[in-house]
Amino acid sequence: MKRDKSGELMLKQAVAAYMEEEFARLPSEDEIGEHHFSPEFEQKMEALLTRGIRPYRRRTAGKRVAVLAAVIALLAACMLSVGAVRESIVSFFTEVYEEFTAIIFEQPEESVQTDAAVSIDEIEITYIPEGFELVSESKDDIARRVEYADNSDKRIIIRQTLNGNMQRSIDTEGIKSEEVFVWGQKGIYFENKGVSTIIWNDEKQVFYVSGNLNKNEIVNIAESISIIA
Amino acid sequence: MLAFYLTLVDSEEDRKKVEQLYYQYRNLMFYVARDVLRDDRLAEDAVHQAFVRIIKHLDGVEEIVSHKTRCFVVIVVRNISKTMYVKRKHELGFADIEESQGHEFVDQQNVETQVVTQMTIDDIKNKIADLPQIYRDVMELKYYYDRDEMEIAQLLGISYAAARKRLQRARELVGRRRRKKKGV
Repeated sequence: MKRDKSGELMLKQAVAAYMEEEFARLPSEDEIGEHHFSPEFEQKMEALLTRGIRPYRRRTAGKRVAVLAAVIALLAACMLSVGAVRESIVSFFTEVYEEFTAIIFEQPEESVQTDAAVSIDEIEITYIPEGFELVSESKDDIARRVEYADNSDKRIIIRQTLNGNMQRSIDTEGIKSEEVFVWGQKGIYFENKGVSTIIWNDEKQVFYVSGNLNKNEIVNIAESISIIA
Repeated sequence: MLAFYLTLVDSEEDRKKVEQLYYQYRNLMFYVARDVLRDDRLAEDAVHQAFVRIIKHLDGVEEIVSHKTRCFVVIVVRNISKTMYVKRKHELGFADIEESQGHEFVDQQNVETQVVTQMTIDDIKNKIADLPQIYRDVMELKYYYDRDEMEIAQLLGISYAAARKRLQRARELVGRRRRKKKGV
């Protein structure tokens, strides 16, 4: 997509204007004072001096292998079950980048949306686990984002966006993933670092539900989402 | 400690630059880090991490003694300090579910287009001032220091996906409220 250079220029100018004010807010030399760094800290620096610092590229080689393996596994899992399940109209594919995997939702030409169908559907979410309350909701014609939280700061995030309008990029290193079905449509379930995520789509839009919950709860939330006719 | 940092650089010019940076800003960086971490030892760790990252991106540092460079080192050490603080407290802020997963959403809409059609420079500046710090910092690194997303990630010690996510959210927050509805 062609970038809007005038918009980017305006952002640069605005940030530069803001930075002038930021400069004035930095502490003065009198406020800062002089710190005498500890002997322990100096010793740690000496230890680092001996070991050195590995260049960035070598440190990521293993991660790239892990990402690629995860992508292959995901693609294989999707392909094996294609004969037994209903195919979604919109296909998704993955691209492997250096540090993450992108899941890109796109539409085949025969299902390109007409001008009459350019906004996401209204939805109703009928199940949210007890204790969670709505903390934010934002929506426009192409995307919706809803967030819930409980008293322990656990979160649930629900996103919805038009097909062809979203790329999902995920860090696939170390994740557990599997194929799931929501509304009879094939989707992907991830679990990593205590967070569960489901992504699926219908012929028009992509849905994403993620939260500090177990798989059953995430699936229940996903299944409770319905489109209001 | 200075000797360690000097081993990370190659040319004599870079060595001098590092040395100047070190003596010019080490106390400021410690001050900022301690303000976040409230612990001298942790603050020293943060300063060390920040300095190592700055050295890796030395080519972007122009004048040593300047407001611009002063702000730059503050941005780096402050972000490192906050990351250390959050990790210590095992907190997950509202953005961290998606960041901890390395998740990222990239809306294909061009947010800059929406901004330029709605707002003046002053409007945008005021919106930037209202941003949460984590979003303001990535905006500054992107649009004032001309760093790309990978460099921002490395400077702030976050994942590439997280850097892109924060930038995306920052742009959304700056432009979203003034966005006109379709057809209007």
